[in-house]
Amino acid sequence: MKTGLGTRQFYKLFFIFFILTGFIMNSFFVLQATAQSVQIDTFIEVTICGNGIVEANEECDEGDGNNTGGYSTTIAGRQCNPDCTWAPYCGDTIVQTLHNEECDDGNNEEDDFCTADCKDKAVVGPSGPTGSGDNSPGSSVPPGTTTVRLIGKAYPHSNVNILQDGVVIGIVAADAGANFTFTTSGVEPGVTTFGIWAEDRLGLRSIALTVTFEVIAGSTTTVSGVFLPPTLDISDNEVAQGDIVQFSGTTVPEVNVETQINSQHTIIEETTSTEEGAWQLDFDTSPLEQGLHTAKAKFETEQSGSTSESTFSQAISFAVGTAALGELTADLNVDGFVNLIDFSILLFHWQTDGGTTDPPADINQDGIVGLPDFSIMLFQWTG
Amino acid sequence: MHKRSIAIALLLFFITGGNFASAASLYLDPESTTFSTKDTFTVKIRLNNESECVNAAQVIMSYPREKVKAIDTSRADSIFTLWPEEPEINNEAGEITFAGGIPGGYCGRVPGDPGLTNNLLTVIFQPHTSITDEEESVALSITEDSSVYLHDGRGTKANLTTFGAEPRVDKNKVEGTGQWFEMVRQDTTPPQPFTIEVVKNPGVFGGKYYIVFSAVDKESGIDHYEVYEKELDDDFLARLLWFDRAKEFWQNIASPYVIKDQSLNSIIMVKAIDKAGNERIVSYTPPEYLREPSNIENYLLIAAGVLLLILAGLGLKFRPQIMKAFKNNPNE
Repeated sequence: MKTGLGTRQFYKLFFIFFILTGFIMNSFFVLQATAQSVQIDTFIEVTICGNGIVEANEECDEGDGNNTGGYSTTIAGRQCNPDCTWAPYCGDTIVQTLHNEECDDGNNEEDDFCTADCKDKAVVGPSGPTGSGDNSPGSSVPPGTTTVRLIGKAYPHSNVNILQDGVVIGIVAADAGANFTFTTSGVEPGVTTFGIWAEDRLGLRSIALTVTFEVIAGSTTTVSGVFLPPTLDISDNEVAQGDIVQFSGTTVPEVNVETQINSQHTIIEETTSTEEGAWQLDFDTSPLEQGLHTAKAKFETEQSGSTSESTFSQAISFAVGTAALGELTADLNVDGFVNLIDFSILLFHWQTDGGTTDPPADINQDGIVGLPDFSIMLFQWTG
Repeated sequence: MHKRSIAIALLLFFITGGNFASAASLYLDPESTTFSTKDTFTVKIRLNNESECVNAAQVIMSYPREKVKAIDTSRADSIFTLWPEEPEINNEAGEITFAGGIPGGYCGRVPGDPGLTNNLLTVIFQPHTSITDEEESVALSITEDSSVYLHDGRGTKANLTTFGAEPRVDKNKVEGTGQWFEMVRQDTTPPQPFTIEVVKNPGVFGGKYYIVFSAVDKESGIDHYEVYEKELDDDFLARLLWFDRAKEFWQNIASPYVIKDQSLNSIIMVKAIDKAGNERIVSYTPPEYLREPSNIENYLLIAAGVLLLILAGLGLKFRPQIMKAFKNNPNE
């Protein structure tokens, strides 16, 4: 009589052990994956005016070719503009003097102080003649025009640079709340990449946030949720362990700014931006081991009851108890911009050691000008 | 031994859940379909960025040269706008190579985007007429030497997975779609407007003036560029004295290009031509303060100098005769 395990029983037990381990580990990874999928950095959304679906930032959408935008004497008969806002109508609470309205009480009822067709009576409606300003910047867009509108947040009173396929096509000013809207018409239909970057009041630049999508002919495509990450600066990029290092920058006013410091364990610190959008974080470097570290920041804001986040800023590096790394620069002609001219210099030195140019065309100093240098240049691209 | 290998593989599979970390993948579209031997077919090289933003890639695609040949490539709906290495077809080796990038990076498809929007390059193939089998599969692949770079500012290579495709060519399939030629035929839109920049950098092209430009064509894609340097000083004398008439012809070029007229006395015209032959011409007139005195003035000065020297030489040579002539005429 055998008292120990037989070979077959051993394999059976071993197999069961595999299965159990597998299930446990799989569950762990699935949970982790689920947790990661909940954490959405930013939610940039494309909506197309003209597809017949009323999407975010649209008031109406009657479908391709039907958003003609004529005046209507009734609420029921109101028409949609080419930019998916309602065209003027009797009942929109705005006295449309261009269409001979004498009053507008927001309905088409006859028995109140304004007639069903917005005539008669001395009492006028509650607001001026043109409606709601920049919320409908494309209301003058004629039908059939291919239009793209970008809506987002940058920095208060900053100039926001808009790039189309790597080339600057416009600069728009953000308001005090850091909101900006940019509309461009006559865009060629097809796959298009828009890049957005801004410079804050301190001269710090954001990364270029890019959105690639297909522009549909004759439609207004609205891209909402274009949130530029906070700008990020550091007081000193070489500190002793235990020193206080100060991270600062600019972002949207009165939002939560999360700074992520990469160490052996990632450290997350939070602060709030001021009314002017300035933010600052004093960080004690005691928990950091000696060596090189990076930090990056993003903001969170409440919108319509849900939390929206920006993407992370570019990472800034600093050294604790050791020498800091030199910054890599792709501005090869030192004109303050990274664009086609820098690209031409890179191409001149392509697949060579880069010569002795200053700053070096071999941006990462690995001995050859190649794709890694090109990648760094694209990261720093300003157009 | 075999059992142990299976056990280790099983253990690895269960521990990772079959999900090996991969930051990007390149794949071919369509993965499988059937084409007529009498027709061309197109294959798109697409990028899936997965969880990371990426900004550059170098791709080597291989195909069986004995079955098909690549006849063209199109960048029409590519997300790349800059090309350090233009697409190059090598039908002898059965390879297509290119390197490109997207300023600001590509972070994936945006919710609501009606397009797939992840194409890098479209390749147009033509099956060889020598295919004998009724139906033959064509194994297309992206080689392991291909690379994709993360948009992290450090030039980091992404962990890359590649997926090939295996379309079939059918001798009996009569109806060809002809989609590529049809698309080119329908393209009547010229490339988009672009700008020319004149640059001079001590470390580049020996400090000579050169031009940079980049155009986009959304329909059939840019085919090539041409340049023409037209002299500003175009009067009769200039025509008479201007010897380098070859400059008046359009020449095929690529950006960056060292201009011939380094004195900047010429209008620089660049023509972008798409696959359908539609053209967009843009020009750059150098500002006055950058121009050097024109060559014509130099030629005139040289000619005047030479004339003076000849006259002086003649004077010296015939000095006795001249002196004699003066002496023989006492009235003067």
